Amino acid sequence: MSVAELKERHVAASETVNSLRECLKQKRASLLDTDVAGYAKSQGKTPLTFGPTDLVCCRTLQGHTGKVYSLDWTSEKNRIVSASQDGRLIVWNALTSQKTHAIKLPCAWVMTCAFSPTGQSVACGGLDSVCSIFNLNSLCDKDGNLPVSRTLSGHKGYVSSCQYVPDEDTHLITGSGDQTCVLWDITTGLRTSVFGGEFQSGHTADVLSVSINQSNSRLFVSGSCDATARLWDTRVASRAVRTFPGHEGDVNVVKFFPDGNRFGTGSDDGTCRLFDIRTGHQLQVYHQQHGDNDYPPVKTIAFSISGRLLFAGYTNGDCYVWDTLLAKVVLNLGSLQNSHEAQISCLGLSADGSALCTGSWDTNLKIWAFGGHRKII
Amino acid sequence: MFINPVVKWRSFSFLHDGGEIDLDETTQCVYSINPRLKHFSDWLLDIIATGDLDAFFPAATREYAPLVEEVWKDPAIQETYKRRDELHFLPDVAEYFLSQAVEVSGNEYEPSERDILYAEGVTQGNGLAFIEFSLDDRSPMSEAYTENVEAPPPPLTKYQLIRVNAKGMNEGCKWVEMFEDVRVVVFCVALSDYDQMWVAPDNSGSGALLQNKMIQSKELFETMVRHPCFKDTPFVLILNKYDLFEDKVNQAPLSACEWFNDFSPVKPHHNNQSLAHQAYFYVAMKFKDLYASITGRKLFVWQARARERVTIDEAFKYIREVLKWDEEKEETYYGGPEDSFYSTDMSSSPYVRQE
Repeated sequence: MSVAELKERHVAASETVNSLRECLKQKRASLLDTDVAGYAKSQGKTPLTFGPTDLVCCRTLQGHTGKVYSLDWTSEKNRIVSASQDGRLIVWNALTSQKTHAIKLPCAWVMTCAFSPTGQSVACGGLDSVCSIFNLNSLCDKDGNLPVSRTLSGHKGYVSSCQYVPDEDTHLITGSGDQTCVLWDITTGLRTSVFGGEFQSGHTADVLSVSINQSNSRLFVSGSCDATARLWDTRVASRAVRTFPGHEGDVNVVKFFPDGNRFGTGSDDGTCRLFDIRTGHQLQVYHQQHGDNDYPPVKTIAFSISGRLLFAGYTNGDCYVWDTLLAKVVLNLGSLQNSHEAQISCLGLSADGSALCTGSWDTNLKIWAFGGHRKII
Repeated sequence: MFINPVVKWRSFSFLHDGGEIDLDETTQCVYSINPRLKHFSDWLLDIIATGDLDAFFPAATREYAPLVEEVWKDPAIQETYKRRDELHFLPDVAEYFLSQAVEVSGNEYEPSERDILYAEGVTQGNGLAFIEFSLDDRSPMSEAYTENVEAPPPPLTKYQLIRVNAKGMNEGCKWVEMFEDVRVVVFCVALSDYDQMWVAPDNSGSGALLQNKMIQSKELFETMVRHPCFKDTPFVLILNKYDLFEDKVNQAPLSACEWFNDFSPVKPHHNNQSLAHQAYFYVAMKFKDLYASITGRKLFVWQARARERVTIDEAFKYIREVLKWDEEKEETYYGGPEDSFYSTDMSSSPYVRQE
C-alpha cells in the first residue's frame, strides 16, 4: 500500500471516529434530563450561607522562598508536605506551624509531592522525569541533606502528579508529560503497570493529574491536556475503563468525590465539572458567568469531607467555594482580607475534614478552619 | 546507540522516479544488495517495528558489528548514500559512526569527546533526562580584577540540563509555565536546517507529511515569544551549525526555505565565506524583524558552531552580558546595548531586496 493510500485510510478512519463521537455525545445529551443543580432546586434545596467567619485563616506557614506548587496532608496526624520552586520540600506540623524537615531536592524543578499513608515517607516529582522518595526517619548526610531513599525512573517526560496507594507505603501512582500513568512498586523501584503510552490506548497528551479512589484503591482517575479525564482499573492496564470528554481545554486537576462514585475536574476552560464513574455522565458544570471574558483557568480543586463544598483555585487569585449541590459560589477565599497575595496553586483538606490548607505563588501556605458553630461539612 | 543503515536501503523504492516498483528478487539495479545482507536488514527493520530495539541492542551490537560494516561498505548502500539529500531522516552523523562501526561496537571502546558531541540527537528517547555541569562563562568585559588579587576567583556558574520531552517540543508545552520567572530564554536554531525537511506536527494546517525544518523552528519560536509566560522576558537567539551552513549555502540556495524568498545577496562574491556571511546576517535579520513585530523589542542574536566548544563558551558569555544589560536598563538613562561590541543591528540590510 502506498503512503498516499495509507493517508487516505487514516483520514477516513478519523472521520468515522469523529462522527461516532458526535453520535455518542448526542445520545448522552438526550439521556440527560437534568443536572445536579436542577434536580436539587426542584427538591427545594437552598444554597448554604457562608459568611467570612465561617472559614477563618488560623495559620500562615512561612518558610519557602519560591512559589508553592503542591501540598499534601498526612492521612492521620496533622502534618503537611509542600513543594516549591525554591527546590525544597518542607514538612510542617499544621498545629504548631513548626517545620520538621526542609529537604533540598536534587532537581529544583518540582511539580508535585505526596505523603505516604504511614507518614514515614514523602514522594516528589518534576521536570527531571523521576519520582524521588525520601524516608523522613533517615539520617542526614554530611551536608545536612536528607538522602533520596528511592528513585523511580522510567518516565519519558516530566512527572506532573503523584499519589500513594492508600494503606500501602509500597505503591504509588504517577502521571506524566509522556502521556502515561504508572503504578510503581517502591520496594523494587520497578513499574508494575503502565497505563497508556505508545502501543496502548490512553491519553493523547500530557497527563497533569491523578487521583486514587479512597474506597476502592484499584480505581484511579487521570486528567490530561487532551481535555479528557480517564478512569483506570489497576488490574487492566491496556485500556481505560472509561473516557470522560466534555472539557474544552486542558484538564489540570482531578479529584475523587468523597464517596468514590464521582469525581471532580478543573480545567483551562475555566470550569469545574462533576462526573459519575458508573454511568459516565457529566453531572454538573461549575461555571461563573463573568461578563464578556471567559473565566480564568482552574488549577486546583478539593472537596470538603461530605462533598457539599468544592474548593477551586483559579489563575487570577480567586479561590471559589462552590456549593456542589446547587452550583452556586458561596464564598471567595481569595478575596478575604488575610488571604494570599497571589494565585492559589494547590489545595487540600485534612484527613478529618476540619481544616483546609492552601498553597500559593506568594510562597506561603495558609490553614483555614471552619469557625463558629458550623459543623464540619 | 545504534544507527540503522538499512533504512537507507528501504528508501530506494522512493528514489526511483515516478510511483511504485515491485521489490522482488529479480529486480536488479545499482541499489540492490545481495540476499544475505537483505535478510539481515529485514531482521533489523522488524525489530525496530516492534519497538523492542532494547531487547537486542546494545547486547548484540558487538556480534553484528562486522555485518553492519559489510552493509555500510556495500556499493549499493554507498550509492544510496550519495543521494542522502533526499533521505530526510538520515542523521547527518551517519557516515561518522557507520565508518567506525566495528571500533564503536568493541568492548574496549571509549568514546572520544568528538564522538560524544557527534552522538547528540541519535540516542534513545529514554536516555538522560537531567544533568548538572559547570561552565566558565565569566565575561571578558566584566570586572575581572578585584582589589585583592589573592582572593579566590568567583565560582564557576552551575548549569542544569533538562530534557523535557524525548520527542522534542510540540504545541502543548505545559511545562513551560514552570519557567515563567526565568531571566532570559535562549532559543537555538540550526542554520543548516533551511533546506531540511522533517515530520510535520499533527496540527499543521497544510496536511502535508513533511515540513521545512527552518519553518518549524520559526513557528516554535513564534509560539514561545507569544506565550504569556514570557511577555517580559528577553530572548537570545543562537544560530548554530554555522560551519555546515557555510559549506551548504553555495550548493543549496537559501530560498529552499520559503521564508527566505527575498534573500538577494550582493554579487559577485569572491569566496564561499562571503556569501555565507551575507546569508547569516540576512537570517538573523528575519528573526529580529519577526521578534520586533510581535514584542516591539530587540532580539539578541549570536552565532555558534556547537561542535567547537569555544563558540559555546562565547555564547554563554554573551548571554550573561545580555542579562546584565537587562538589569541595568532599568537604571540607566541611555539605551543599553546599542554601542556594544556585540551589537548586530541590521535594520536596513543591503542584503534584502528593497520592495
